[in-house]
Amino acid sequence: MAEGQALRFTFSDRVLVGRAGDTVASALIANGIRSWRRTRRGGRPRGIYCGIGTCFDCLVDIGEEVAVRACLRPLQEGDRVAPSGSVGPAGP
Amino acid sequence: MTPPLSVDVAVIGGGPAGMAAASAATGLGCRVGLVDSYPLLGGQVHRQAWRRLGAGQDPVAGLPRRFRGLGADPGVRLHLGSSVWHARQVTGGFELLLTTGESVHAGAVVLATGAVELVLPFPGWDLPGAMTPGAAQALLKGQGRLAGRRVVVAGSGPFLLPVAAGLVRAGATVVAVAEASRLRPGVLGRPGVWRGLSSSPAKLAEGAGYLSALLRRRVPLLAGWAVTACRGRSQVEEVRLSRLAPDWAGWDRERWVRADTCCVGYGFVPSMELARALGCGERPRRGLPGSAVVVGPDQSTSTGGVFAAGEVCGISGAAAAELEGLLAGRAAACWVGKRGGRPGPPTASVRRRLARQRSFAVALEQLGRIGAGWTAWLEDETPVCRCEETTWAKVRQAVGAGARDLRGVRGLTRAGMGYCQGRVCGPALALAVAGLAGRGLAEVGDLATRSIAWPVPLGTIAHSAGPG
Ligand SMILES: Cc1cc2nc3c(=O)[nH]c(=O)nc-3n(C[C@H](O)[C@H](O)[C@H](O)COP(=O)(O)OP(=O)(O)OC[C@H]3O[C@@H](n4cnc5c(N)ncnc54)[C@H](O)[C@@H]3O)c2cc1C
Ligand code: FES
Repeated sequence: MAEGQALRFTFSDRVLVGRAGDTVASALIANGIRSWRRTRRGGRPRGIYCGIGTCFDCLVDIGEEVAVRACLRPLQEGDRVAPSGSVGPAGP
Repeated sequence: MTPPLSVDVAVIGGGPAGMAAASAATGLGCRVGLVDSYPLLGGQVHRQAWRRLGAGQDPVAGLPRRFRGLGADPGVRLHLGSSVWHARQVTGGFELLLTTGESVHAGAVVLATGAVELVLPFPGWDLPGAMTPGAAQALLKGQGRLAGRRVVVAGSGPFLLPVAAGLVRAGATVVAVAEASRLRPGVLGRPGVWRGLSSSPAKLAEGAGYLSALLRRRVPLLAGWAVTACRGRSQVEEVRLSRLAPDWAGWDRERWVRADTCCVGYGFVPSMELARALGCGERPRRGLPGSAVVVGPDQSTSTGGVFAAGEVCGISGAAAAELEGLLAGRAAACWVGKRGGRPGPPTASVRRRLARQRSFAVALEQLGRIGAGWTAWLEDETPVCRCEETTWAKVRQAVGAGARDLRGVRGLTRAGMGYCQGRVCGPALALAVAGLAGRGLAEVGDLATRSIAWPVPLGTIAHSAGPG
């Protein structure tokens, strides 16, 4: 597979490099990071599980945006990614 | 709220079923709106590499040739990266509300929303590195990234083979492929099984291709074995493979293997939210949790003007999905009064091919059944609901305290009340509660009634009329 252009992003102040075509989740995984938040109740580590937007395990905050599904979000140059604060499920 | 866009036929889902429906309807002169949550067309099976995303890139370039016309068709408006979060009947047709804040008004609707994976919990299944086979497949096809280096692929169904073959081809070590079902003596003699399997030599050849890729790399292929646990400090480090008893209620041999990833899935469950919102008739699935949309020979549902195609009508594979899409697109065009334009293959021959694909799927389904005793591998502390971290002990207590169905269990334990709204745990919970309460799957119900089909920013709801 042809390589996409390199994209620089940060995860909790670490500077990392992904590439065009990555999701935020795949870029984290490619950098050896397999979990990026903890659950509200048990404090258990979570990363990718379903890979297609169904499970919400992969939530991250990106810049000002909270609770973004990392497996669906195309990585962009300069993304500031942080563990999802896991505010209670306001959602559906 | 933005004024509604008006089309003759709205197609929800851009997999093989939705793409075929959109092509057929536009071919008959309809204005078509095609909506998909992903930024590129293709759905699960024809998932394109996302490096194609971006300015000036064509959203169809990585698709099989027969679908590429959709990109430049003036009769098709693509709403990509956009999900339908609610659908309702209005005067003169249907209104779809999109997560982008747009709404689409359509004379007819084709539901082609596909399926999600069916998963069964096991101790350690919430450790990072434990995921569904589809997650590994999506990472590989969409992003060209490996989910892990040493991978166990397990569960049940034909989907495990392309996932494992894809991983080894891309350079991962597949430690084992474990299929939980075992070919029981006599199953090939059941009515329809042999005929169904032999009706689709192309599919058997495809399966043989994956098998030979795996055997060439000496990947152990185990039948009658399952992943019954995994463990590790902060991620998967070891996976337990167990040789199951016939009804899966225990095992006589086990082996811990070193792996950083385990991909476990037991097939698929139709994505029913929108079908239910539109009142389409449903049928239970034999021995499997979840339901499927009932369709007539032209893919019409019980709701006039709503057609359904692909996995939402039952799990019959990508080829069937595409044939159903073709029929649904034609019928939807006919419903809105469009009959002229490009003729396609004759309907009778499409139906013949579809019947063959379906009989293959029915035969496969008979080869693998979920063993009633699978809950034997759960431990008291195993989380059954990943979102709310409801443990197996809590679920048992709830049934012990009198909960008779999924809603009752949800009320007592919060299982299915988190972010995913029971999309992940609902089907397994249905099997488990049916077993505990000694009731049928249809009696324990499901958690698929959601007035919001797809998560949506609250601002979007506030600005639209909302799901009344
Ligand atoms: C994760 C996963 C991976 C799979 N990989 C393969 C594979 O590699 N090979 C294979 O043969 N089969 C695979 N399958 C099985 C697959 O479902 C079928 O083979 C085939 O893709 C079914 O076609 P379809 O058109 O019915 O559904 P799909 O291809 O699933 O397409 C459905 C589409 O609908 C969209 N959608 C759903 N709800 C909404 C909504 N509310 N708003 C907007 N869009 C919506 C989805 O984004 C999706 O693109 C996979 C299934 C899953 C769940
Ligand atoms: S991994 Fe399931 S939603 Fe992202």
